Amino acid sequence: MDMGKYRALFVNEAADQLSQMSALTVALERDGGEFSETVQSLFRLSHSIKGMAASMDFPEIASLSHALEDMFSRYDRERTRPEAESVDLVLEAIDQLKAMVSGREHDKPHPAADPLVERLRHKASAPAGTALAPAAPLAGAPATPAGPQPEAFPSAVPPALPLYSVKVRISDKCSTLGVRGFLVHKKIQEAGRIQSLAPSLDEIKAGKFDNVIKAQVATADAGRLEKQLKAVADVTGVEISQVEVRPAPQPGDEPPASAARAQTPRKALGTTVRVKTETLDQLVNMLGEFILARARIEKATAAYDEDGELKTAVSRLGALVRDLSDQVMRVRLMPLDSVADLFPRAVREAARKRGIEVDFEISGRDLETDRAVIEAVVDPIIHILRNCVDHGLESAADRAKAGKPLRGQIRMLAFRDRDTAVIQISDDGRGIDVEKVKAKAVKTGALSAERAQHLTREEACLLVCLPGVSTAEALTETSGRGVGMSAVKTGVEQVGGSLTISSEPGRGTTFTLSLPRSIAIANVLLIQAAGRTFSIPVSRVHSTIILEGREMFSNRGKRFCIFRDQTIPLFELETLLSLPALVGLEKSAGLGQHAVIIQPDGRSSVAIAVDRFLGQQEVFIRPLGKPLDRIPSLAGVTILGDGRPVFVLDPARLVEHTVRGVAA
Amino acid sequence: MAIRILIADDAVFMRNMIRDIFSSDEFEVVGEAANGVEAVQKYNELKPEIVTMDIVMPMKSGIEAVKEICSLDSAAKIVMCSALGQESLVMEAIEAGASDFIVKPFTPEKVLEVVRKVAAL
Repeated sequence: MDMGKYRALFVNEAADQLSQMSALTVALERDGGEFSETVQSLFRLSHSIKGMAASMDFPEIASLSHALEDMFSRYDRERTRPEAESVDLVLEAIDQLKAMVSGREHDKPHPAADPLVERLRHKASAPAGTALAPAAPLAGAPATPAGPQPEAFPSAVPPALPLYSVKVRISDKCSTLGVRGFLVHKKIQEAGRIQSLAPSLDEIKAGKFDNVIKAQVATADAGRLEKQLKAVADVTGVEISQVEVRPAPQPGDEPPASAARAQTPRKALGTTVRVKTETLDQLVNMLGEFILARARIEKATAAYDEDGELKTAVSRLGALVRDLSDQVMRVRLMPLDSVADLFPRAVREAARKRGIEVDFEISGRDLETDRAVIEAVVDPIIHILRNCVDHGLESAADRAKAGKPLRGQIRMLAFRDRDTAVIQISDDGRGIDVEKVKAKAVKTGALSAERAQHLTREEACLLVCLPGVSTAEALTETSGRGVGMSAVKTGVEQVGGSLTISSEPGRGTTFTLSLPRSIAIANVLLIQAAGRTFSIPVSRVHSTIILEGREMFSNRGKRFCIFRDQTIPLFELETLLSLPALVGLEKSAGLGQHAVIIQPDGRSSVAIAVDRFLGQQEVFIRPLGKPLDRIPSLAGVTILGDGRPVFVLDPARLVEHTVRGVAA
Repeated sequence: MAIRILIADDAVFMRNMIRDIFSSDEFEVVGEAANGVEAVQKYNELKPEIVTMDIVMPMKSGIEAVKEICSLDSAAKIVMCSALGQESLVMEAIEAGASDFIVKPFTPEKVLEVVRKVAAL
């Protein structure tokens, strides 16, 4: 049988499962009722990889997976939280497996895993701690581990714990069926491994069922479960009876699908496909050419005023291209979840290094944004998380004194705000010492002492992003060199996002990343300054105005104008861009001063004067290559219908550089 | 031996009402808390058998308080008190470790039934 065609499938599926295992392993260290289920999922996943590797004739992968299986079996026997060193070892093994699996994709040789297998087997066979409840070992994993046997793995078998059929009836008078059902489900879940559930958990939570919940659960203590269920208010009846357990299949039998798929719901495999990223990128590029071609046609046909049919056809083409581009951009969307398992690990590592305990929660994992954005913010997010652990959180002793929970709290919240994806990371630590940061910034010459005095709290917090400014007394390995946060801010801005920091001394710090959901196609406003054409994304423009002479004035060398009854600063685009004025060029004199209003911080307005507006257009923004990509005020470049390249400006960055007086 | 109870709710009216429900010799209300922070503090001080915990409270929500209490004492028995329409919050509290819940407006009989059942576990 030709195993070649299964290779890609093996690599993809195993990689996915290893990713899940990584996240689950980190979750193991947290308290909560999920321990038993988590361990069983981990066992199931490593068992599955072992089986696949054996079928693909990859004995080293199978052997390392087998060693992990034994480890999880030990956890399951002991039913206590594993020690940190044990979890370290498991994570190391998972990383090694990831490397080995991806090596198989291109038939690369990989380092021998034997030493790791030895260490795992040694740990797995260590005498079990005081088991809380006697539990039969998971079938398929012998209590005393034998050597790796690649030829004769048993197929997935049902657990040796007895299986019970549970039926719970909830009173008709219960007014909160959903919550009551959820509580019942939780009690059943805590007792053991749920093999089947009717109705589904979603239906239960929604209260859409006829007051009866049925489940099949493998548990060691049915008596206790019955007692627990009967103690739930509004439960009028509980029936538990043992179910005939199927005998373990012999090698050669089909693995029973239900046991292998027991609890953790797989993502709907049938409705998704995997696409190579190169293909996606090609699609997007082609789309870009498409939009360009459409613009050219539109321009060319603009001259043919009379021909109604041509105009209709071109307009229809425009609509189709727009729809197509929406769909393609949607294909590029990726949920944060796809990288979210990296974050708990980063927090855990940093916490272990520092010797403190941290609770870390993520919500909003299903937030979707362009894959390029996700890829670009992974490292910045990890750095921020490390930063929180290393500098934000206090020691347990200090926290106790401050009345905070002993374990540091870090939360990541991801949500969508129209066209922006927002990721907020907060810690409940000591907050940023604003005075210290200002002093350091002044000391490094980044800004004058006078400017420092006039900064708002938010602006002062952002100073930590200046290279060289860091309040860490000692440099730690993971952060504190003073370059980290500056790279974070740049990384975020390079994909068109922004970073803000807010902090309360003693209460904590919140980092907010605002990211564009899709980065390539946008509506831009075309403008002219000093005879040259530029563009600004419409999403960054608050409004446009034409100012009359009396609405503008100067004060101490700075210009201002009146906008909606407020006095706001006025800048000239050509000055902001340091453009030499073209001699002999006339501005649109007599028609008033065209200006674009932007709100760089989302609150206060700033006006940017231009020669004139040239209209709006939908364009494909290409990122700039080196070295132009270093210029902060340029967000990219676009090609107009007539083939001219036009810079796309990032007005907030433009103004920021002038207002902040960086290097002034 | 009387069942020792801690009542956490930000409304004095509610605390009084619940206190009255537990006015027999079967129970002893050992303390009251007006917000999530107090709830955790008093739990640690008084070590009650049962806590009745309002979900929405100032300074720290009932859910946060449940998380904290359960992380310090995994055997804690907490009964959530919520208003109708806060179903998802109650589920969150259950996820965090709450043992059971009652929904406002509640009858004294209902409260007693739930608390007795949870205490017996």
